[in-house]
Amino acid sequence: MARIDIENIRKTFGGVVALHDVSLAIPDGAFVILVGPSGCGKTTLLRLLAGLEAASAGTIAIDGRDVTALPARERDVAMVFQNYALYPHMSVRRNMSFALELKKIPRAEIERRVDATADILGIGALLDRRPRQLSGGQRQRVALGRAIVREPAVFLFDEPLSNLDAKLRTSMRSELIKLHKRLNATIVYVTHDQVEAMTMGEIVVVMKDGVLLQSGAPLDIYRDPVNLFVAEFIGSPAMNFLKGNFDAGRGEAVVAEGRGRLRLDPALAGSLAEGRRVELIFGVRPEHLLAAPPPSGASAIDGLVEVVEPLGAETVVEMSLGTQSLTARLKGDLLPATGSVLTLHVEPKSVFVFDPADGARLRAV
Amino acid sequence: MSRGSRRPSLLFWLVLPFMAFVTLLPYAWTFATSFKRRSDILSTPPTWIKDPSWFNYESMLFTRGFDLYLLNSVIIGVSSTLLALTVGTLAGYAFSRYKVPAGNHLFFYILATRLGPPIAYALPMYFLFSELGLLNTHLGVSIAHAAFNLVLVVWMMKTFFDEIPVELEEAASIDGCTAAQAFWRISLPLALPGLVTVAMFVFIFSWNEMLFALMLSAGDSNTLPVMIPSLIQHTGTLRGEVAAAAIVQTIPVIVFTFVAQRHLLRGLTFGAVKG
Ligand SMILES: Nc1ncnc2c1ncn2[C@@H]1O[C@H](COP(=O)(O)OP(=O)(O)OP(=O)(O)O)[C@@H](O)[C@H]1O
Ligand SMILES: [Mg+2]
Repeated sequence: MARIDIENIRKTFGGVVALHDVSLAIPDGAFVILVGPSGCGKTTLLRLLAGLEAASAGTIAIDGRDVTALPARERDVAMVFQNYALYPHMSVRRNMSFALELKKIPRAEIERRVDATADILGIGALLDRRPRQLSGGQRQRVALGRAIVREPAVFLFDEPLSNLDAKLRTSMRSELIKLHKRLNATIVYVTHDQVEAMTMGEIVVVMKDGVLLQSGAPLDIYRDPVNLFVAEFIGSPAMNFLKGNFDAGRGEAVVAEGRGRLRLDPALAGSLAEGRRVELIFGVRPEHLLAAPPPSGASAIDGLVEVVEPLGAETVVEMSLGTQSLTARLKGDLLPATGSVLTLHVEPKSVFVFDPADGARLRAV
Repeated sequence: MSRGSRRPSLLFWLVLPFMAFVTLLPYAWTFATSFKRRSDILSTPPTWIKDPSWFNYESMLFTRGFDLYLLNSVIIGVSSTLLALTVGTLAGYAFSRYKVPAGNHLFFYILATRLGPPIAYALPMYFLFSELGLLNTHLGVSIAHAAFNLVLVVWMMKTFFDEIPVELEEAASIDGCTAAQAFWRISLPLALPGLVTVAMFVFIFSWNEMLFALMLSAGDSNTLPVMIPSLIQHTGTLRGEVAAAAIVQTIPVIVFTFVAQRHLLRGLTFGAVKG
């Protein structure tokens, strides 16, 4: 239980700027998900929070106490490393009890906590083994156990479930969520997994090249991304982007060399007309493409069906529009033939507009 | 550790016994001599041990006072090993983990101490130790041996520590360890196979070393290798005692090689710490 205030944190490695003035306020007990492409600085931010790396500038406070200069051991933080970092010369049990022994917690209490944690993680049978006698997934769970058993104020997880099979991953995910509820600890969790990003956390933070692009509730980010990068990164399959021109007179966008016309939300169209914007990028999520025209507008996109993936509950269709392509998630009962021309529709409020120069989201003002 | 899977060739079987014979015969002969009675040692034709006896060992150890030199060898070997390991391990760790000022130059400078001829150091050391009152003491010879061995310890320990992922110490510091605790409880135990290997090298070096021991000590603090030549006297060579002393002198080398062979290999192929 702790709130974390990160203010203007900057981290450089020689000439490389790994973090660019990152600021973030994490409320007490929040579950924060950190996402972003490889090399964007997620691990670096976790290491700064843990106290393994010194900030080049800026401050970090935990529960109002400035910990920027505090060594790791005094921060009451537990971290699960991307590569586990289990102590090879200790049994699983000792790996888990090590921190508690350092804190001089009574033996019986240590035993109880280690056993309880091992039960939750399903590693009770492995307690007397050495790390090298474990599979990748088992090691990952031991690494989780080593953090959990400490019941720290802050958990830092660096892709803790990346090596587990799908079934184990699902069950670990719900264990972590339960754990979060039970311990009420603040969690910062790095993942590449879209499902984890959308379902596990209360706050999602999207980073790119050391810059914090957007943070907020998962659905808020999904519904209202600040720029093209966030829009593309959050949501699976990713949002479609079509180059096109805005026709101020009709309040419509003409995309993909005339293969599609998208009616825009009137307020948005109004501000675009005011700004005299013409060449733009238009974004539509695959799940917002409709086979039947909605009552509200005359948007229509014609594409050549290239790939059809019938998944049962839904059908994912990939279409080509000249040089551009489009992915749609349609109802499972729709099975268009490959090579046929398909016309799809979209509601005006579901069309996002981006500035082609810097990818910034353009909104109604 | 992958051994060649090829079957040894014929040449191997011809050469190996020959080499073994050439190498082992003198040793076997020395061994035999050490148990012979004085009259049998130079008998023609040569005889194998007719009537084995401990006489040469008793004479060497108790009549000639070699029990003291043996003890000296052990004391100096152990203390110089402890000294070299303590200083060298800490230095190797610092070179591996910290930014040491002028680290690279320093690291090679340390190596340079081993490149010069030992005699070049022995004489200045003699004067230095004489000023410090360290001549003819166990401590003096121990320091000399430790100083000479430090290179090996620093270099080998740095490589062993380099193999240990830094994340392990980071995990330990998050778990609540100070830097010293992380070293003591995580890195040092993981470097233990390496440490044992290095310890053996260092001990054997000190055990066999003659030049420094000869220059820096006299009488009561002399070591075994220094005193063996004293058995060659103007009235004749005490061949039986020389053989017995030579056998005693080789015991630790043989024991370490056999008993610790496994450990030695593990130390040399250290690197499987991952996971
Ligand atoms: N010790 C270091 N020295 C130099 N550069 C570093 C160091 N650590 C990280 N970097 C650089 O900082 C940037 C951010 O790295 P970081 O490990 O935080 O990325 P990440 O988001 O965790 O990536 P991934 O998803 O691949 O784990 C990268 O450009 C990386 O090369
Ligand atoms: Mg990372």
